[in-house]
Amino acid sequence: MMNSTGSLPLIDYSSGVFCFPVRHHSPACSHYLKQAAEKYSPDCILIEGPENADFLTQYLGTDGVVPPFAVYCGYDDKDGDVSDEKGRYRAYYPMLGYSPEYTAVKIACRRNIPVHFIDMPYALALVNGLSQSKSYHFSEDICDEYYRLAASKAGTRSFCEFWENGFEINGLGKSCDEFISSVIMLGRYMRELMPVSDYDACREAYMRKNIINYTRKYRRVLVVTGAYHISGLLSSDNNDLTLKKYSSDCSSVYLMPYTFEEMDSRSGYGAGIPFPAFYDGVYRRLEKNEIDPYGETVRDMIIKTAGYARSVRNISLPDMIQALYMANELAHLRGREQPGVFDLIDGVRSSFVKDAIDDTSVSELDFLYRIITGVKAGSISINDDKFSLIPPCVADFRSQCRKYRINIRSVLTHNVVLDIVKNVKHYEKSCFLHRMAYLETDFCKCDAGPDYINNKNTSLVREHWKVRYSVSVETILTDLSVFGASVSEICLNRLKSHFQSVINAESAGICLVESYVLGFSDTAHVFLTQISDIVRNDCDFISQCRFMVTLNRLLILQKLTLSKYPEWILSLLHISFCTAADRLVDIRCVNDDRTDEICRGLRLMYSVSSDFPDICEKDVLTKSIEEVLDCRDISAQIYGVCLSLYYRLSGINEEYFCDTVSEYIITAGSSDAADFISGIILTGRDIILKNNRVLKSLDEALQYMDNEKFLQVLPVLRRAFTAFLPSETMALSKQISQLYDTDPVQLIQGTQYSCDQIVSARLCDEKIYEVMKKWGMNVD
Amino acid sequence: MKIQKPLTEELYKEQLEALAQSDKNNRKPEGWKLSPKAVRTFILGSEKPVCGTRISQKFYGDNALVERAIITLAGSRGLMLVGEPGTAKTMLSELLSAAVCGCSSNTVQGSAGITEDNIKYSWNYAMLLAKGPVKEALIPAPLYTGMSKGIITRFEELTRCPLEIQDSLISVMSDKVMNIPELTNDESLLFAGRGFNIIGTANTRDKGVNDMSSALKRRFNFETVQPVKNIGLEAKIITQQCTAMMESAGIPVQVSDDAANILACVFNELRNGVSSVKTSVPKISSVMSTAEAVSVYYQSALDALYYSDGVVTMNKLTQNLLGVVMKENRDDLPKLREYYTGIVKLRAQTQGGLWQELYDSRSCL
Repeated sequence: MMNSTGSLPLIDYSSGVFCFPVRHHSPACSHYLKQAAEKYSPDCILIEGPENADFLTQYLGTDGVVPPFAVYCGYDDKDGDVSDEKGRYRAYYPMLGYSPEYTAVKIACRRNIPVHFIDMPYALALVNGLSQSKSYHFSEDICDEYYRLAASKAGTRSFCEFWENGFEINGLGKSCDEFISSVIMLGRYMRELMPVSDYDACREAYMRKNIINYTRKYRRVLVVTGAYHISGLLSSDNNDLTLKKYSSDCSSVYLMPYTFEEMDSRSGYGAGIPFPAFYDGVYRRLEKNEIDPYGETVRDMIIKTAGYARSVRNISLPDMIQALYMANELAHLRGREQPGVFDLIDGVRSSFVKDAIDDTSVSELDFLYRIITGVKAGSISINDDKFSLIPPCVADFRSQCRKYRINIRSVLTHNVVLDIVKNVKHYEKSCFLHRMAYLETDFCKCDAGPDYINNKNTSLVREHWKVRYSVSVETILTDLSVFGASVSEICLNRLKSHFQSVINAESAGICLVESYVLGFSDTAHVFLTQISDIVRNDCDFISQCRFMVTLNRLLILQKLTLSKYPEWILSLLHISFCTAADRLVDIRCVNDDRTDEICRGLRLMYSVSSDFPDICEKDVLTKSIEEVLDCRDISAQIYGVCLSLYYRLSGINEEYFCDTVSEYIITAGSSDAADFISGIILTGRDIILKNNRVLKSLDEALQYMDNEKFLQVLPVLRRAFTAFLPSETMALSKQISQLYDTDPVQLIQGTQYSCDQIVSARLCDEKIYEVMKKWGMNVD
Repeated sequence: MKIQKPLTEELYKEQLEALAQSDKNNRKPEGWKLSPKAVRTFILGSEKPVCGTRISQKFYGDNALVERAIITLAGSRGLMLVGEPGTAKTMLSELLSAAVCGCSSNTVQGSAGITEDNIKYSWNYAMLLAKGPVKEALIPAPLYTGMSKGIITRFEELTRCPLEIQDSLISVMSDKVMNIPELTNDESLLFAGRGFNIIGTANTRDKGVNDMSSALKRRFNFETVQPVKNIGLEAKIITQQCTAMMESAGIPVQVSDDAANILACVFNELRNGVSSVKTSVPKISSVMSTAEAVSVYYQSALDALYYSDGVVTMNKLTQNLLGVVMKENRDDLPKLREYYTGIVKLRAQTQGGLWQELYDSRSCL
């Protein structure tokens, strides 16, 4: 194909191999590829795609595969062939409707000839140390230096603009042969400036070998590869490669739907060209043989942008005309035969934006960028018994959506309300949605409902979900396909790794709630031994209490659905209760921020021992509390709680209890007395209501206090007394009114004065003021 | 008498003539002296000489902005250049005017005290009394001149003018006609000649003082001129402009590339609040434009020439930099000190040389 002098390469349609050079995702290359195929009339087409995905080529041209899509290659380095890290690797080979590779597939379908992928499998590159990228996106060969130089020489902002100008737009005016020659020359220059990497050299040798093999079988072979590789493919270098084989069990190949957004090279993946929707419009017009494909597309995009931008600012018809005028004239000034995407951007920028553009976004341009990037998504809907074309987890996701009647044909957001307590089907659907949310697929979001993990709104029985299907959901699932064959399996594997990272009782509790919410409560017992050990060894009383709170909640939830308590939860509750009881004596003298939580924990232990007397024996708690009460150094609030619990557990009689309380309040300091009272109220406020001796003692203690001390303890007492219900407050006021012989209602509501009383008091005040003034007294 | 600042069309007369000569076969908008391609070449320069004349690059930054500005002027809308002070908006409008119509002096300088007479026309009152309202008694202002001659009218600092003055442009820009009610018959209407257009400039610091009405905004295409982001390019501009100013003033001081580089770096970092290695730098609220950087160097060079041995030292640069920083806000002084004791100190330790000298000059602050 190419002469040795380095002049323009010759195009030989009579050769046994015809290499067609492409820039990936170029509409012009696709356009000319069709013409070249007509002229060459190949028996077989070979494409620069991973060879291990060759079985997919038979499906790519069918109606079941709608671009954009990607060939996904996964590799699970279980044996550590790539590195000791034993990681999971992924590679993506994306295709758009106007990608030359996809056009080649379509040509093969139409001509009814075979089409094959000939490039080195990614797994092979990995195990041979040629690539180590964990997430590889097949794209244009990176020749940054060449790109920069070419753009700078041509006076364009970027290589993309240079390519669009020289090849996409002005290339359309060339003959097919001229176009091919110019692309080959571009590839040659790139190669001269940028040395070929080992990986590329190996890939080219691999492809050469495959091309030779196919030429033995077919008379006329059309090879579609990047322009950069043409010289390498036509060279006579040694094709023998000694490569280490990869384990096919660790490798997986699927088709996955892709989106324009992901294809946009500006998205960060670098997998394609910028603004795919714009070029998609151009290619559709090229296919219809329209005279001015770019001009028409630019006009359409301006109209669409104006339509959207009108929601923010009034864009008039003259603005649109001006934008089109600018785009056309800029194209003329820049030597383009038709306006391109960069002229469109400049036109809209000049005509629609009516203010200074700073670093923040400009809505008019944002709308344009969204439109020229596009939101189109591909789809894969092929069933083949022989091969699995889509990852099993994606298939499982689709079947689950069918089962729960979730619409994934639309990308609109819809609301789902689930009654997770009464309706079993709703509960199952909720589990599925929670699983999708847990995997961070952006498929659904719970707007309202009980949040058991964070212990919020737990009394709610309905969940309100917002569900929105997008192709990216399946893309994320495909990415996760290396972790399991179904949504639940991936979730379970992730949950397992969470359980493995659990370090204390509290985090174990969170994992258990997570497993309940995800619908894996049955499988949580798998980790019973592990969790039991963690709980048994956790010396933190608060952590144990939080764990018990979680278990308590789980028991209530399980009761709602199963109407019986699962044994494994009761077993964990027993362990946690006993461990917490053992640790009680250690936390007796805590007097800081944790005291409140410890007190609540003690109350919880009493409540659990009452609810589950067989599992959490009261004797155990009584014994532990006795130990605490025997100690001298004990914080006032905890002492108050323990004393009232001890009384409740029948350790002491009412008389003794009241004596102890009265004695403590009178003898202790004001601050301790207040803390002690708050402890008593937390767990034994009924005792106060029943016997007024406690109140009398408190009253006595308060009388001995000076103002300063009273002000110190007042907040503690106020908070403690807020625990009383209104009816209880009324009962308390009756007790106090007896002490002071006053009216209980007045005691609560305070003294009330009528308007007349206030007016007469003010008048009286004014008279006194005047008299004092008259007497010459200092009234200020 | 030697002119301090010659007009752009005079300064680049040779280049404009060469371009006009080579531009004969190119399509030109009516009333234009050069084609849009030649205007672009005039502003952005050309690697190859045109008719034996080297065309220098005069505007650095966004080439696409220049192209958009040219195409806007060839159309029916006016061009509004907006941006921070000192970003070469005025220079760009002068270059555009000189290249498009060969006249950059048809200018209205916008201010709070401007009246309609200053932009449209006024009267020779002696003649008005003697002959009545006749055309001879009319004194054309820049807008009238631009319309009658079919040339560009430059309107500097448009947003500093009162709203009623701004809005008097609306009918002129949409109908391309000026009504002169004092005159009668055909003379009462002045139709704009082909080639007439308006280039307005406004700086973003004045935003909100007299914000343009949306009716007037619609008659303009807006182009935002951004400060130069590339330090190397900014240093190049400082060197070129200072050299030109010194040559014009007959000052025999050679511009030091190293000093210009340091000055560009300091201005760039203080303007953006980010150092070249992406660390945070105290951002100065005063205008830290390239034009100010040029001014700092030029002042330092004059200081060096008249009061010392003619060498621009870092001490002198710091003294003049202080003047720029303190111009608007005294609160910026601690920020400048912080910059010196942070970034400059670090560079002095790692790179030494002029950075060390710059750090040593911190006593001026």
